[in-house]
Amino acid sequence: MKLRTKLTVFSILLLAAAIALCCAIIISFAYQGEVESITSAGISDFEDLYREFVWSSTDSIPDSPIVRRSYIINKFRSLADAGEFVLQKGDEFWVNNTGFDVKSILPAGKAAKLSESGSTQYKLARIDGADYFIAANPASIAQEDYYVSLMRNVTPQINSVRSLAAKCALVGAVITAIAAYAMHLIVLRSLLPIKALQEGANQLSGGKYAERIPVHGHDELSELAADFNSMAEAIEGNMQELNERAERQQAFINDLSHELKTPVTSILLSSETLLSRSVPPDAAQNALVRIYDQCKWLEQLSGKLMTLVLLQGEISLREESVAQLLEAVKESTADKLEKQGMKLCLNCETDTLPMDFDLMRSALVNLVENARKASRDGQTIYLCAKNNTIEVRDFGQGIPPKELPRITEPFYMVDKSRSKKQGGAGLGLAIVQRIASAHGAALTAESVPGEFTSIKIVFPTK
Amino acid sequence: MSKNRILVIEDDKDIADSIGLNLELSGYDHTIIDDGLEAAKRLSEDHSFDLALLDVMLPGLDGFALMEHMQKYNIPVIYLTAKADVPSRIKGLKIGAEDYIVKPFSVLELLVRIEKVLDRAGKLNKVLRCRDITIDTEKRTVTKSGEAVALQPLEFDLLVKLIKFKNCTMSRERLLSEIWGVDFVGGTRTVDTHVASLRKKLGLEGVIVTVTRIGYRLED
Repeated sequence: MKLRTKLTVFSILLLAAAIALCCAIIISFAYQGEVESITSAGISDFEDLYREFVWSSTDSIPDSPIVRRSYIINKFRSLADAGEFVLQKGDEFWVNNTGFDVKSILPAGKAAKLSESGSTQYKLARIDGADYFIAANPASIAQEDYYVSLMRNVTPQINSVRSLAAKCALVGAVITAIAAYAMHLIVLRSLLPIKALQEGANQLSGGKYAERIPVHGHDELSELAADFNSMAEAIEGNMQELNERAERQQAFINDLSHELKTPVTSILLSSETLLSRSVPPDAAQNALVRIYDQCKWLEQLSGKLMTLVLLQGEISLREESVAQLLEAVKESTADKLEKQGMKLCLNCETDTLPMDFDLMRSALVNLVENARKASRDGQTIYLCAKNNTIEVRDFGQGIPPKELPRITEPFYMVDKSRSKKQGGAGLGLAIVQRIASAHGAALTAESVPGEFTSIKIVFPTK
Repeated sequence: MSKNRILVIEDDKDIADSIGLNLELSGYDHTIIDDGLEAAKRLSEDHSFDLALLDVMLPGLDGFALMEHMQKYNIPVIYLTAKADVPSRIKGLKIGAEDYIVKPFSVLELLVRIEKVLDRAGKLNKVLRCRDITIDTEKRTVTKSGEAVALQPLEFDLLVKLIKFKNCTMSRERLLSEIWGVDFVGGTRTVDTHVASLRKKLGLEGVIVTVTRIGYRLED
């Protein structure tokens, strides 16, 4: 069963039951009230008559039985309204206009369910489709036993309660029907967002990650729709990132295969020449040197590529002394700098930073190497740490502004022929960039051609 | 007639040197330039080249941009480049290149393509020389020290092939298919007998050397 059917059916059943219970209680109160008023009126009428009759009959009672009989009947008739009261002596009816044998309807004894008020017995009874109030009391006049009773037709009063019940049932049914229809509409309307959610989920599974569900109001379903939207957003973001990553990898592979072509071409050319041509000895020697150089370059490239690949994983960071780091960098680069009469000037104002010491050292060595290649013999390179930033600054040839944004791309070289002569593969800054981002740090570059270049690794602020 | 002059514009020194060595061994004159702007400048001074081998990605001015300079001086161009994508190839050929070769390539293939382009451009030397032998490919005559030598048509073709690819080892199979044609049913022994008769008629013993199990090479 669908949720909307369930909700509608159960709420209607509950509503109908509540209305029915309500009506039943109201009707039962009305019935009791009616019965009470019938009973009290009946008893008071009966007892008035009974007292009057017994009291007035005791003082001047005729002796002759016949005269006494007509006296008592007259007395009774003068007191009682005709039609409702019955007077019996023994089993003989002296006055009876009701047409019922009250004594048989109202049996004496404990077995009968009778109510009593003083010595008066009474009850409500339904006889042949009509309702009656019956009250009776035996009376003793001049040592003779009489039986006085009241049989009052109360059908209209009881019927008024019955018609109230019928009206209640009708009104209840109408109210239930209207409420049921309203409930149906409300349920349909409040479940509309589920339909929207369903459609949204279908779109999402169909690969349309940019679709969103319209959110109205502030109920639980709207919250769910909002949650669903933020989930779709997350998925869209992730997919975009995946796509971008795939594109980056594709671009990297394209660059790599392109980059491999030059050394492979050179090796192929030289080896093919040596294999299939008669080459003068010194030219043959040169060809062999070319093959050797290119193979060595390829070997270096594969090492750097391995570094790049290994850097994809997580690294563990520890607080390390920045002063020690800078010293280690100076030590690693001293030989090459000395050969060109260059100096590395350290300035450390930072205590510790969270890092992987070896990786950060190799990143900084890379940057200092770049600075060395860009500088002229005898120049000074500065390696400074301040707050959360480590900077390598040289006063060499600089980087043209339009090249600046691309320098961290793998295989990108500003001056290709010059870099190649110095054994560069265009991977150095890409590796530094990776190391920096593995530390959550940013790599920023600033340069004025012919004046200076400053590369900064900016660590995240604590 | 002088040697064909070939301009090589290539920024990778190793590749340029290898190409240069091969051009030299095949009897071409060559000039190597490693920068696009430099090439444009040099062309305005000296442009008597028969062919240019152009890299596309060059410092200064790229190979595509250099095309108009080449066309100004009517120099046929072969692109030699690592750019293997179809749009680049199409662009290269559309703007006027005679050929487009993607790196890495075979040097022997390059030589054949150079020859074809020179031939199409009518710049191929009609007269080949090797030691004291002169061959006129148009008249199909051979002279040794000024004296005419009579050769069979197939012997003549074989001699031309060996001289064009002097210093290159030519396999018997290749000679057979290129001179006798792919349909030829005779064995590679045919090549051996023709080489023997060439050696005898022109006194080329020790010049056309036998490369064991492979074929022959004419050494200059």
